[in-house]
Amino acid sequence: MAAIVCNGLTKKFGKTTALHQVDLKLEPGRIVGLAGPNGSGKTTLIKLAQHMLVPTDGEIMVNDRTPGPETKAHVAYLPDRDFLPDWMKVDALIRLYEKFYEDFNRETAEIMLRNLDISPDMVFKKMSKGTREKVQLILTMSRKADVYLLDEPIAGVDPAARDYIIRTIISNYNPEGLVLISTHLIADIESVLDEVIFLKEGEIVLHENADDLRMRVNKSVDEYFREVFAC
Amino acid sequence: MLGKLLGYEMKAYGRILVPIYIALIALAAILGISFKLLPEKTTLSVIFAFALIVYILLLVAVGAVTTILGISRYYNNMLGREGYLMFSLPVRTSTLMTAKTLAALIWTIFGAIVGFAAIATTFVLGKFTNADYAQLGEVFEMLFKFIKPYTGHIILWIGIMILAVLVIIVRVYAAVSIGSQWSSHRLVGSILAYIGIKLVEVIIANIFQAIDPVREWFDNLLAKSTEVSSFMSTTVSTTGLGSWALQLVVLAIILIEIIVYWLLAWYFTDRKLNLA
Repeated sequence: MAAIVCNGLTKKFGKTTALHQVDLKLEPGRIVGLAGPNGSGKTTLIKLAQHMLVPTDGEIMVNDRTPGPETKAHVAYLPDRDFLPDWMKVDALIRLYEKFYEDFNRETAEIMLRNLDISPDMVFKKMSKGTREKVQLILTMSRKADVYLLDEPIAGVDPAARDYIIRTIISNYNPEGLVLISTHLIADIESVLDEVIFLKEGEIVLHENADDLRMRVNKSVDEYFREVFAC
Repeated sequence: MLGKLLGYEMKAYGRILVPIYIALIALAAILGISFKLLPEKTTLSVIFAFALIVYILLLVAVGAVTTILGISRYYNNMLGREGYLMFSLPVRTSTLMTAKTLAALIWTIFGAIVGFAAIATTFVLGKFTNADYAQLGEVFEMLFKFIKPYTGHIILWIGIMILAVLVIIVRVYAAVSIGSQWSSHRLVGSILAYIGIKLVEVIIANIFQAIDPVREWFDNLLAKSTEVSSFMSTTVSTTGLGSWALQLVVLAIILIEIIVYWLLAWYFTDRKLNLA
């Protein structure tokens, strides 16, 4: 069973086409980089997989189901912005995740928080931007999900935090699940990717095994990305 | 899942409203005791007047904060950045909306109860004498005797009043859901959507009033629903108090409004979601 399947997936916002006739099949157990410049349709694709948007045409299936409550129970989603209630303490946020997601592992979350010296009594809004991002990532990665949708997890954080985020993803994801990471900072995550997708103006221009791509073009994925998307 | 969501919503409201409610009751009690203890003209009268103003302001604040919080919980928590969390939870959009609506309704009812309780506290702790209590008892006794024949109708009217609050809530949700379709100036969009919705309501009401048979039927219903009764030696008109027909018509209109606004809010939130 494929983790995500798109057939002729199209999303339009008024006259603007965000995604056009996307055909895609992503298998579980892979870490896939979804790369493309701003406005290429990365976030739109992820939102469609989370039923935060409805396709204009075509279909998207997650675990063989149309996105909805049943798929959300098995999808761990990290949006590209602060999304947690800022008045809540870390401990209350853990309880919230525990309450709503059966696959959430409190112990995993607590160990990661302890390692970062983040107290359960800390209030979300009083944290620095970097710490907020880490808490959000920890909560997301403490789930044993079938699909991880990580939208720009390393954008807007310093290089040290980027390393921590990538390490956290690699050491905590469910190896039997799919990890889809959207980013335009390929160099930072290239080493962990099994597959790469290039999105350009709402269309997939490349979907290939990362090693095969490097061999074929004799360049790093990042170098090839810069070539394809050169202005 | 609805229970879990409702619990979360109740907490989110409670952390803001409970302290305000406690402050209101405490001030009502202080004011009541002051009424009792202070002589008519005292140097403390300035403090007393100040406390009275704060009390009235708190009373207004309870209503205002409950209303604003109800709108903000939908505007920010459903359609703002927190919406990314809410719409990631394994629940249907309708369940999210139900939890929000119920929480807003419950806290509105709490607010009304606390408002009445505050006023009652001031009276009870204030210059109420045993004679006053006896008189109050008589008034209540007469009131109960007067409304006894209408008990069923009054229960239904209370139900209609609660549903009328629900109409306001879902109307606001529909307006906010429509306003969130704008990529910027969403608040302006929501206000304009609300004005638009009210305008459509007025137009529909006017259309029905312009249809002669409908207007005549309703006027006839109102006339039939009016009785003149006596209460405490005065004659009072009890329009609609004892009329099942009028109540059912009002109930039907309110239920139609709830269904229409609910579906509008659901459509723009589930099918056309546009998170900030």
